[in-house]
Amino acid sequence: CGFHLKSDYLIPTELQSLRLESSDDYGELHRLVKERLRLSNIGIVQEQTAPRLWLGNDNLERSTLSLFPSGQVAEYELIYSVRFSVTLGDQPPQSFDVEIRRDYLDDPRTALAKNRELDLLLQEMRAQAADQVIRTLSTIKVQ
Amino acid sequence: LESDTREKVEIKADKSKADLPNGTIVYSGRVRISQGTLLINADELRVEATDNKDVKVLVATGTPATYQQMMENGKLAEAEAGEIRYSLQDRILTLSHNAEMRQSGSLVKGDTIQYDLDQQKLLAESSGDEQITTIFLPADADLKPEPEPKPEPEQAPVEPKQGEQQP
Amino acid sequence: QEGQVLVPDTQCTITLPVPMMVDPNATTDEQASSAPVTVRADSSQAIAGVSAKFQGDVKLRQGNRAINADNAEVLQLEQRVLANGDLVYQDPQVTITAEDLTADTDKYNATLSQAKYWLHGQQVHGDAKKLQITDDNNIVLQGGSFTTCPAEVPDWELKADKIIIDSNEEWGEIYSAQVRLFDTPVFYVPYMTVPVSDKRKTGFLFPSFSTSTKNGVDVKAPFYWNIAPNFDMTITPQVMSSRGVWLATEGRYLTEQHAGMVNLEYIGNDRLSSLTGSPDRYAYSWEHSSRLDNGWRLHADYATISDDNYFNDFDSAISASTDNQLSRVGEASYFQENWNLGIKVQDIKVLGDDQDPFQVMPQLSYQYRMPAFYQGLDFNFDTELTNFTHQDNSQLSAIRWHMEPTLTLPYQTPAGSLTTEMKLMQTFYQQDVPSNNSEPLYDDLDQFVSRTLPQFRVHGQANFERQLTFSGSPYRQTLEPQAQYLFIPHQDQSDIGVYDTAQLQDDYNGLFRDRRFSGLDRIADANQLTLGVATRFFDDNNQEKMRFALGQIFYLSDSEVSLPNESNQIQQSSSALAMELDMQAAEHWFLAGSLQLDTNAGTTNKSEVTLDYRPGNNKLVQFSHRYVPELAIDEETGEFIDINQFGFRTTWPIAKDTYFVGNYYYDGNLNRTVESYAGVQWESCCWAVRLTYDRHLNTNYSDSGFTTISQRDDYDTSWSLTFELKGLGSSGPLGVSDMLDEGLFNYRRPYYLKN
Repeated sequence: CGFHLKSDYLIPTELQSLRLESSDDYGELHRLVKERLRLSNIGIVQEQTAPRLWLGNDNLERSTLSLFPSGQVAEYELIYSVRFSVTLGDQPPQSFDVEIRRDYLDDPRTALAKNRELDLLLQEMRAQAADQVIRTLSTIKVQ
Repeated sequence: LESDTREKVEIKADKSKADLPNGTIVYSGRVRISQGTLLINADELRVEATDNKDVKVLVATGTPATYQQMMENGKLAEAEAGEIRYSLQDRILTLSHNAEMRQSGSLVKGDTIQYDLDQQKLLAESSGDEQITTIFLPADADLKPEPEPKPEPEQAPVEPKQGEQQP
Repeated sequence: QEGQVLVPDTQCTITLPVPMMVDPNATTDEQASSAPVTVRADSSQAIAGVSAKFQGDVKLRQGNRAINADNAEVLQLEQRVLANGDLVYQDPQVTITAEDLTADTDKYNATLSQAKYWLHGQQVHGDAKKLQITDDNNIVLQGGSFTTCPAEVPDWELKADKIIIDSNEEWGEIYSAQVRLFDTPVFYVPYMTVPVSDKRKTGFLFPSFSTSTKNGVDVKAPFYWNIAPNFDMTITPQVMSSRGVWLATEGRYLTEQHAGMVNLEYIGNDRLSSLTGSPDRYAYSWEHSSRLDNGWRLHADYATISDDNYFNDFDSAISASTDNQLSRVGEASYFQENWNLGIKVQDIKVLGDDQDPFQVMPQLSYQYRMPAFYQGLDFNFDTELTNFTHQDNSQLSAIRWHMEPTLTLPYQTPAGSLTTEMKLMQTFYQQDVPSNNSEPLYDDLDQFVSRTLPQFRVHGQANFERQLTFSGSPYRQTLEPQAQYLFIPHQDQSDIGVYDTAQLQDDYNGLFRDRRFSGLDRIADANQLTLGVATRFFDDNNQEKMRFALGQIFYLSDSEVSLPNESNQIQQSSSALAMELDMQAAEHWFLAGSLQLDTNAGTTNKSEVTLDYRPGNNKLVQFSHRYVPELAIDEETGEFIDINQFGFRTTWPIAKDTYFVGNYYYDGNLNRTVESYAGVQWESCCWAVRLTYDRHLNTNYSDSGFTTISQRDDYDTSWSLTFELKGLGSSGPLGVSDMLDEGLFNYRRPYYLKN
C-alpha cells in the first residue's frame, strides 16, 4: 500500500546545527529538547551566527471539565502551553505555540497522590511538547 | 558708562573725506571710534556734525560693524549690525540689518534694535519676515548663544564671531 | 487563549489642538530648568537685566518646554515668565491651552488658568479652572475635569474639586469627584484613584452592579493604591444587600528576583440565608516565588479560609468555587546542568469533611542526569527522602527513603527507535504505627520495611510514510506502530502504608507508562506487552492536519499488587482499547476525541468528543460531550456516579464593538443544566459595558466545624452589569478576556512551575 520506512527527519539542512537557548537554561523542557536534538543528530553549537531555537516560559493551567451531581468538580483539564521561536540568520523569527491538553480526575480523598500524578502528567506533557518542537523544525520556511 | 559722554570722541581710519557744505565727514578703511569705554569698529563711518562742529550723529557700517561699552552694572554690552547709528545728543544706538546685542545675561537678535543708553532700555522690531529672537541665559551661564534648537525651521543658525571677548 | 481582537478604534484617537512642538519622548529632566530661555516675537521691549516684554506670535522655549502666546514677559531678576493671549503650553507629557500662565525659569513649574489639557500617549484629557505643574512634574487641577472620551461632550467625565496626576507613578488621585455620564451627573465619589499609564492596570473596573439569588443587589468599587513602583494594592469593598459588606484586598509586589501576592478578605456577620447566626467569615493567602542569582528558586503558597464553603459564597481572588483543596506548600530548589536538588514541606487542607492527607514534613529530593555517558547509554539517578506526619498524631507517620538508578539505551533513526531501560528501585520505610490504633489497615504494617524491585522495559517504534493526494491536495501520511514490553517482579507490599499513592487514570497516554500507581508506596508487578499504532497526515508544508492513535496493553500474567481494600489487581487479559483522534476536518472545523473500550466486557470506559468551529480570532463555536461511567462512588448512596455531560461554548463578535460569550453545560444523567452563562459586552473607545447572566450548580461542603448549614438551593443565579472606564492606561480594546474568566467552565487556574 505504498508505505516505506522513513529515511529522513525532513529537517532543513540550514537547521542541522543550531543554538538552543531558553528563558530557563536549567528548565526541564530545555533538557528534553536538547536530548531529542541530540537523538535526531542535530548539532548544538554556541556560535552566534548559528540559527537560534529559543524556548519561552512554559505554563500549566487547569480548567473545569465536568462536575459531580454535588457540584464538586469531577474532571479537570490540564493545559500545558509554551511558545518557542526559530531565527535563521537575520530573517525575522518564526514563532510557534504548543498546547498540550490532558484530562485529570482530582480526588480530594487522595490529595497527596493526585499531586504526584500531576507531576507525572506534567513530565509526560513536557516530553510530548518537546517531540512537537522537533517535529515543527521540519515546517520551518527557509528563504 | 555715564562718564563716557564727557570723554572726547576719537576716530582713527585709513582715509577720511570731508563734505563740509552739509557738515559730514566720511572715514573708511579699518575705522575705529572710541569715547571712554565706548568702542565701535566699522568699515566706513559717516559723521554728521552740528553747525558748530561738535559731533551730532555717527553712522558706522560694516560687515558687520561692532560696538562695545561698559555698563553701570559693571557688565560689558556688545553689539554688531550691518549699520550702527549712534546719536550722541539723545544717547540712542540704533542697530539695523541683522542686528545682535548682548548685555547682562540676554542676547537679542533681529532686524532693528534701538538701545537707549541712559535708561538701558532696548526696543526691537521685526520687519515682517524674521521675528526678533531673545535668549536669556541662566545667571551662571556665559553669553555664548546656544545653537538654534532644531524645531525652528525659519531661523538660520547664527555662528558666534571668533575672538569675542567675554565680559 | 483566543487572545485579543483589535477593534479598529479609529474614532478613538484624541487629536491635540496644536502640532507637537517638543520631542514627546524626551525626558523632563531637572537640569532642563536651568536651560536658557529662547523667545521669538514680532517685537520686544527690554530693560537690561531686569525684564523684557514681547508681543506678537511669541514663541518661548526652555529645554523641552514650549510656550506660545500672543504676548509674554520674562522677569530676569525674579526668574519668572508671564504669558497670556491664545496661550499653548507643551512639554513631553502634556499639552495645555489656557488664558494665562506664570512659570519659574529656575524651577520646572507653571500655573495656568482656564486651562484645557491633553496627556500625551493616551486618551486622558479635560479642563481646569487652575492647573499647576509642580517641580516633581505632577499636574494638579483645581476645579477640573478628567475623561478619556474623544467627543466634545464626553460619554463619561469626572468633575472634581482637585485632581492630581502623578506622571512618574503614572496614576491619578481624584478628590470629591462628580461622575457624569452623557453629561448628566450620576453620583458622587469622595476619593478615587485611576491608573494613568499602560504600565498599570489597563481598565479601571468602575463600580460594578449585579444582583444574584445569593447576594441580592451588590455594588463593587475597587480602589487602586499605588504604594511604590514595584508594590501596588487593590482594595475592593463589595456591598451586598442581603449579606453585608465584604472587603477584598490584594497586594502585589514584583522585584528583579521576587514576585508575590497577598490577599486578605473579610466580611463581618454574613447574613447569607443558608447560614444561621450570621458569622464573620474571612480568607487570607500569600503566594511568593523567587529566583535568586545563586541559582536557588523559592516558592511558598499558603491559604486559609474560615469555612469550607467560603469559595462557593464569594468571588474570591484566592481560589475558584470549583477548587476543593487549599495548597500549603513551601519549597526551595537548586538547578544545575545535570542535577537538581529540592526541599519541600507540604500540608494540603481538603475542603469538606474528607480526611486530610499526610503532611510532608519535609521531603528532600535529588535528581542526577548523565545522558550518553558511555557508548550512548544514559544514566539517571533519582532519590527522595520523605517524612510523612499527620495533624492528629494518633495517626500513622513514617520516613521513606527511595532510590532509583536507571540505565537507558536510546537508539533512534528516522526509520524508527529502540529504547531499552533497566531500573532498580530500592525503598526503605520506617513506620511508626500508633499503639492505640483502631485502624484495621495498620495491623499488618511493619516498623521497618525494605523493598527492592528491578524493572526492565524495552520500547520499539517503526516510522513508515507514504505520499498520497486527498481531495486534490498532496499529503504525507505516516504510520507509526510501536510496542513495549514491561517486566516488574511481584513483591508483597501490604506491610507498607499508603502515604502518597493512588491508582493512575488509564487512558491512551497511560498505555506506555511503566507504573499503575502514582507516588511510591505501591509498585505494581507487571509482565505486559503494549501494542499501539499512530497515523498522521501532514500537508505540503509539513503542518500536521490529523493524528489518530490507538493502543492496548496485553497482560501476560496477572498483577497482584493493589491498594488496601481496593480491587485494583489485574486479572483480565488486556486493558481497555484506548483511541485518540485530533484532526482539522475542514478549513475552520476541528474535531478531537478519545475513546476507551473495554474489549472484554464490550462496554465504553470513557468517551469524549469536541467539535470546534474556529473561523477567526475570538470567533469560536464548540460542541462537546463527555461520557465517563462509574467515575466515582457516591458516599451516601454507595452507588456509582456517571458523568454524561453535553457542552456548548461560543465566543462571537456580534457587531464591530460588541461581543457575545456563552456556554451551556447539560448533565445527561440527571437531565438538568450544570451551568448556563451568557455575556454581552458593548465597547466604545472610552468605556465598556458588560451584562452577564450566570446560573450554575452550587458546590456544597458539609462543614461540621462551622455554623449549621441548612439545605442550600442547588443553583445560584446572577445577573451582573459591569461598567468599565477604558483608555485610562493604554487605549485599545478589552476584547473578551475578562468575560472568558467568568463562569465555572471558563476559569483557568495557573499552577506554579518551579523549573
